[in-house]
Parts: sequence; structure tokens; C-alpha cells
Amino acid sequence: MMLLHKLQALDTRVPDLDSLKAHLQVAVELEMTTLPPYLCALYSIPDGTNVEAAGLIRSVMMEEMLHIILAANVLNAIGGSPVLAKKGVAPEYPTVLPQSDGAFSISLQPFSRAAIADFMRVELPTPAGIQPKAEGYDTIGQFYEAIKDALVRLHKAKKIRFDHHPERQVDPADYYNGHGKVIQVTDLESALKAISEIMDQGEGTTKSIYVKGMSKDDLGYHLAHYYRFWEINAGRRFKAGDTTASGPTGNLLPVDWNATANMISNPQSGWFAPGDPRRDMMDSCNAMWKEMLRALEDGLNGKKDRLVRAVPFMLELKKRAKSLMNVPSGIAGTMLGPSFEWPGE
Amino acid sequence: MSKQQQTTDEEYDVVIVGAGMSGAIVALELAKAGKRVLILEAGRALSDDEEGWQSAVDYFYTQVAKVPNSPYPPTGSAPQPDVLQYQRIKDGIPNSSGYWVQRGPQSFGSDYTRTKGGTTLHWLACSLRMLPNDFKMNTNYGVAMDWPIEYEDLRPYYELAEYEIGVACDADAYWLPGVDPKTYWKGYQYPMKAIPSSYVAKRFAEKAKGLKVDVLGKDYTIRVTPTPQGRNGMPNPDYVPPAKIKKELEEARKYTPYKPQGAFNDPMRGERCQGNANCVPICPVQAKYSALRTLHRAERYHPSGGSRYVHIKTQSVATRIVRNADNSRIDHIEYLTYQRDLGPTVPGIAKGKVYVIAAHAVETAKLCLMSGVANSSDQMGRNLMDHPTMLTWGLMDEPIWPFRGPGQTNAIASFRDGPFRSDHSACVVPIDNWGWIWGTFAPGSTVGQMIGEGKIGRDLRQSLANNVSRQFTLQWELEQLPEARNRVTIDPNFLDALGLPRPVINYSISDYVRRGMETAFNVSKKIFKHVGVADQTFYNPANMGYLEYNGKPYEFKGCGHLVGTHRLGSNSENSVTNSWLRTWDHENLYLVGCGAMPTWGTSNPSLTMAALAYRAAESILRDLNKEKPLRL
Repeated sequence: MMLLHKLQALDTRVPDLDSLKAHLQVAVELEMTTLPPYLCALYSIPDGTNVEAAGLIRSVMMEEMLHIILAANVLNAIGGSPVLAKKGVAPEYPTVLPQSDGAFSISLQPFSRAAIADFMRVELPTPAGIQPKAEGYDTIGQFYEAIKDALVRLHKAKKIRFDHHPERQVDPADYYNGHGKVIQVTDLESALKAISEIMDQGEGTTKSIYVKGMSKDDLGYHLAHYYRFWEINAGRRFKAGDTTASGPTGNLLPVDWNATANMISNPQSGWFAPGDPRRDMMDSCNAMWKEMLRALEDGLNGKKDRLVRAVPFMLELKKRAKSLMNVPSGIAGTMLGPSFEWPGE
Repeated sequence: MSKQQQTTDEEYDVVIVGAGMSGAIVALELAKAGKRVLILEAGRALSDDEEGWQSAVDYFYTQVAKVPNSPYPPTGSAPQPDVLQYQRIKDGIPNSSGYWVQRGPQSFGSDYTRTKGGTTLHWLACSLRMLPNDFKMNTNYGVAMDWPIEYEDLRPYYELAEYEIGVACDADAYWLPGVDPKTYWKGYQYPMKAIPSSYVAKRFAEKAKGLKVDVLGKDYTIRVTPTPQGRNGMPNPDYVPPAKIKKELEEARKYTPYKPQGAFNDPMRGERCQGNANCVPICPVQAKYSALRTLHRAERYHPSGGSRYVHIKTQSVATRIVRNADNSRIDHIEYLTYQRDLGPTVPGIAKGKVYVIAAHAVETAKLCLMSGVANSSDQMGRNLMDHPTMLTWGLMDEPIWPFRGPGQTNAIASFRDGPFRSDHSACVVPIDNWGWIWGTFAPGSTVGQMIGEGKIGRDLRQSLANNVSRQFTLQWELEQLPEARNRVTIDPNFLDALGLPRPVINYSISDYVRRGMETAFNVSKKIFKHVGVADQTFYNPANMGYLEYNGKPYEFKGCGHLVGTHRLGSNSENSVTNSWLRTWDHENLYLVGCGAMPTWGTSNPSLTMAALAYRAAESILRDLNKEKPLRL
């Protein structure tokens, strides 16, 4: 898969600070792009069914939120300003990963075998040993390696400071309910730690199923994202001793592929004329998505109290998205769903 | 009873009856000190994993009456009281329709949960410390009995309890009557910042600002304070854990001032309150503390990687505490284990060096009475108390949007203490965030009433929106004093499915409380007038808690606070245990729970219970290590 191919790679000798900032903004967008598909899958599972699968998807989704915050903490520390709530930045679906060659399209779809297969492609681990290239990146892991590399080089060349906007750093009071910790970025070391946290937790490696630094003894979610989705796909848990080669051979993970909303893929509000109640419902769901992203963006740009506001917006978004999944689309017996479109200003 | 051979378990250091909050705390404390503990729990492990928790939430959703035990159905083998079976007691005829037998004259309105996790599964998690004067009711006000210890003696244990429960509040903003913040807090900060106030409470506080009311010739300013809550909020960076906890965390290299503890079974859930309004009976995300958190930590505790220290046997009903020949010690506890509900039972014998009964106020007293232990004082089962709760309600002159956020976030603290306590009850007055649901079953009843008035369609919707959004309730939780006649007894005529006695309850509301109701009612009138609430309070003579005083109608409800049945005290004549909760009669028997409190003012009892459990654990450990017993 060709990821991030359109992105001008960072110069490996003396990188330029502005293009590092651009990279970190892409990192924010990259992590953000995965949120709506995960949310669709999660919301499409009726309460009380597919409990374990829903828990796994939710755990990945929560960590993507953490990754947005970690990338934003680094970006803020080096003098940038993360942007989330803007047309063109907020993804629209079907989409491709930002700055990619577009070969792999990401859809909004209900919980299904196809959705889990797509999630596994998104979270595919980075094979070890691939070096950054001058133009573009093949994997997300490579992309983050380049960011780390640039941080180190710029620091060496004394062309970067990490003390911008300390008040914008999100701390553990504001991020919770996820594994991993929010890392406040104040120097090179913490910046590298933040990027490593994203890499370790997310795509993981082809060598180990575990999040780096965690073991099977830790309570909760210790598998890298790809391997959590593998569990759902296989209907089986990983157990101690399992490897990337063996796949999951542990306890049964019951998955009911029928317990899911019959949501149409990639619904669009434009299908319905203004005044159509279905249009109203989709518009109101999109409006809440916008509210949520705005609160998040404000929260990452110094208005900390807005992060707290993002929580009720998120809950309201869920409510509106779930109600859409009970509304017939009029197409082949399917239901509507959230479209995550950026509504007009 | 089955005639099978009784099996004797391996001998433990400590045997605990009851897997609720106090049993959990004692078990974890002892495990940390390397002691082996068996907990016998009569109920099931009902919501002990992800699926169980979710099915309890789902079951709650399907219940028409959302009463405290609605998500937690009991077994027939270990029944529990059901408030839906309580009735007004008429003509002195006892109500034996449920598990309890209620002899009256008033019906006791509160209940508890017999399942792993105990009543913390449905508590509201209000975690109020007692006031210093609450410990000295006799000295200060000439009523009830003094505690043998003072607030300052309990203060360090409150800090341990607040860490374990995870209490959110702002000590600096927490005004309390007659309290010097310097000596009360000693610079203390709560682990988490206060949960944001509900809009109802915020608007009420603004409207009531500066209002003074007269009680027995003294002016009281209406002061709205935050309610300390055992539900997760923002961690407080200024919090410093108790030294003992800090040391443990540092040794485990996990030291951080405070990290909220979420769901017991899922580290990605429950680290913050999300404002679901159904804290009672179940927090769907587990942001509210339940004893399952402590129990799971206790069960998992095995620092050396060897065998675990705490073993919990559910569906195991303790049937007898058996004394040794000279009565001075407990020899063992007999119990019955059931596999199927109402199915055959297997008898067992639990042996330990120390025995702890932590089965909730009524069940602990019942078990001791059944076993004929710890009752040389004749206080066992007596002094049963609750916070009789009188509601006053009306329509606010503006929308206040109830049901957003936790059931209560703030309360009027002005009447928690004062010279009037020589004459009548103190009270704490939560600003209810549940509209009129408790008083009138609104909004359901509002819909019914409006349809009855012929409203339909848009008119009905608008009328409802206009009415329900303004529904306001004050909840007057009145202090009750110990009385020998309010008691738990047993009667061979009333037995449960296992042939064990059912609790028989005698309960009455004294004039001390009735005068408190009278005062509360008059104060409520003044407050309503001042803040713009049109009073709609109505007490139906057919209701269970209806009563009259000085020819005027009042009504009380149970507050879920069951206290006083095995009170601690200064000597073996006036009490069942000493202040370390060790029974005067048997040197290796401890009774831990809300039943221990001789008085308790207007504080919700669980926090004080938890603090006392830490105290008991300390004393048990000294006993086990054969150290000199502690005094007081």
C-alpha cells in the first residue's frame, strides 16, 4: 500500500521546521481520518450484542483520540497550531488516507467482516527495516520515524524550541479512559516519547503482537491495534505464547455478524432535498460532528475548558448517529447512518 | 437442611461475612499485610464481569419501577428486601408480604442488596464526613449517646476511605456549620475536583443567595455547598494521598497524586462521570465507585506471584457464628452453599483466627441474633436508624432542566448543625436533580395528568416541556436518633426458603424527627417563596410514610441509610463493640458496617463506615500479629 505518497518527505540532512509542522498536522489528520469509520462500526452494534468486539473497537478508537492529542502536543510545543475543524481538514467519506496515492479508500460502514478487514489494512504493522525515502512514505510507521528523525536533527542544529504555548499542553486531567498516557511535551525527549507512544500503541510491529512496553500480564488492552482487529476477524482471543505467525489461538470471542445495523455505506446528506426529514436528521448529526471538532480544536489551542465540552457533544453525536441507523434510506432496504460531512459555515 | 457431611475449609487468617464495601476494604488491607482471607457472600456474583454488568444495565432499562434494587434481582436462597413490597402498616397488622416482616408502627422505607459488591451497586455515592458535633450529641445537645472517639480520631481514616472510593469535592468551597476549616481539613484536598454543579443547583444557589431564615429564634443563612461524591471527576493536582498509600504507590513505581479508577473490568471506561442521571441504581459507565473495584483488587492481590490472598465464596449463606466452650472466642462459622436457586445446599465450615461480620446493618444483627453472640448488652439489633426524608416540591418560575447530570451535586448545609438539635432533627437538604420523580413519579405522572386534562399533540408536548423543565424538589434528609424500640429481631414463625429467620423490623418516627419535619416544612415555604417556586407539595394519607404532627400532614421516605444495629460505644453495657469494632463479648469477632454508628448526624453513612472499616482492619492486624490492643 502506498501511503502518504504525495507528501514531500522531510529532508534527512537539515529538515525545515515548517515542513515538520506540516508533517505533524498531517499526523493529526491521519489519526482523525480513522475516527468516523470506527465510530460507525461501534454505533452500528446494538447495545448488549457483540460486547467484546465493541469493546475492542472502542479501545482502538479511544487510542486514536490520544494520538491526535499527542501529535497536537508536539505540534504546539514547536510553535504550530493544530487544525481540525475546517473544511478539507475534516475528512469526508469515502476518503483516502491524507497525502496518500489514493489506492486504498476508507468507507463509513456498519460493523461487518468487510469493515474489520478495512480496519486491519489501516492498522497494518510496519515491517522493520524500511528507511525513509526522499519522496513520500510507504507506511505510517515510516512517516513517524521521519518526524522523530527531523526532531532530533533540528534540535542538534538548534533550529527548534519546545517551549511554545506551554498552556496548550493537554495533561492527564483532560485525557482519560484510554491506555497509554498523555505526554506533555516540553523538550526533545518528551517529544520523541510522544511520537513513540503513537507508534507503539497503534500499528505496532510485525514482530510482536503486544504494544511495546506491555505484556500479557497487564490488565486490559495490551495488543497493538492490528492484532485487536485480528481477534475480531478470527473470533478468537490471543493467548500467552501466541505470535504474529500463529495468530490468535486463545479463547473463543463470540461475534454475531448479524447483530449490526443495516446501514448503507457512505451515506450523503445531499441525497435528500432540504426540508426532507431525513436531510434534517443528517444535517443535525453533521452539525454535532462540527461542534465536537470545534470544541476539540479549541481545546488543543489553549481553551482547555472546551475539551470538557467535547464530551457531551460526543454523546449527543452518538445519539443522533444511532437514530439515523433506524431510519430507512429508501435504497435497497438499508438504513441511514452518520455521514460525517463538514456542514456549510 | 441437608444431612451431608459438613466440609471444613482450610484455615484462613480471617473469615469475613459479606462482600460489600466494608468487607472489601478489610480484606484488601489484610491481604496487603500478607493475611489470607475468606469472604462468604450470600448472594451471587451478579455483575462481576463485562457481560454481567451490561445485563444488569439492560435489566434495569426494562424495569417499570426504577427502584434501587431493580437491576439486581435477588435469589430465593438469599432474599433481599424489595421496597415495592413495603406498605403502609394499618391497624397494627404486620406486613410480611416481602422478605422482611415489618411491625411498624411506621414502615421502614430503605433496603440493601445481597450480591457481590453489596449495596454500593446501587448507592448514590455521596461521601460526607460527619461533623465534629455529630460525635458528641449527648454532651452538646443532651440527646442520644456520645461516641467514645472524636472527629479528629477518625480524620486520618476518612482520608484513606476517600482515596479508596475516589471522592470528588472542593474542600475550600465546602462550608460546614460550626466547623473551623483549619482543624476540620488540616490543609486537606480531595483526590478529585468537584463534579460540576447541576444547572438546577446552580440556579437555585444564585436565587437563594443571601436568604436568611429563622429557626427557634436564630437566623440561618441558606448556604449551598458541593456534595462530596464518590464518582470520578478531574484529578486534583494538589492532592496528596495519605502517607501509607503514597508509600505503597511509590514502592510499586505507580506514584501519581491521583489517577481516577474506572470500571473494575475495563480500564477504558468510567474514569469520568458523564452525567448519566441514574446513579441510583446503576452507573452504566462505572464512574461511580462500587465495592467491585476493591474486591477485584483484593482478589487479584498476589505480589509474589504465588497463590492469592483473598478468596470469595459467593452463594454461601452464613447460618451460625459458633462460640468456643467458654464463650470468649468464636470457633467457626457455619454456612450453606447453593448451586441452583432454591436448590439443595451443601453445608460448610469456615475457620479463621478472626471473624468479621460485614453483612449490612440488618443482616449482621440478624446473624448475631440467630447465633446468640455478642449480645450481653441487649443492644444487638436495636437503634435502627435511617434519614427519614421529607420532600417538598414545586414549579420554578423558569426552566431549570432537571435530570442533567448526577442525582445530586449540591446541598443546603445550613441546618446540619445548630442549637436546635436539642429540640429536633438536623437535616441536610440536597438540591434534587430528579425533578418530581421521587415525590410524584413525574414525568410519567405529569403525562398522565395532562392527558387526563384532554391535552393532545403539540399542546401536550408544549405543556409537558413547560412543566417538566421547571420541576424542582428539595430533599430534607432528617437526622434520626437511636431508640431501643427501633430494632431488628427474629421470630421462628417467619423463616426464609433455607429455613433461616427473616428480619423482623420495628420502626417508628419520634417527635424529635416530627418536629424536624415541621421546621423543615416551614423553612421550605420561605425558601420557595424567595426563589420563585410555586409550591405543589402534597402528602397523600394513603402513602406509606404519611404521618401527622400538631394536626398537620407530613410524609417521609426511606433514604437507603441503614444504621445503628450493632453500635460501638464506650462500654459493654451501652454498646456491642468498642471503637475498633471488636465485640465486647468475643475477642476475635468484629462487626463492621453502618450498624456500628451510634449517631451519625446528617452525613450519608457509607464514608464513615469505610473509615471505620480501615480502623477495624488496623486493629485486626494487631490482634493477628499479637501486638498490644489499641485503646479508645
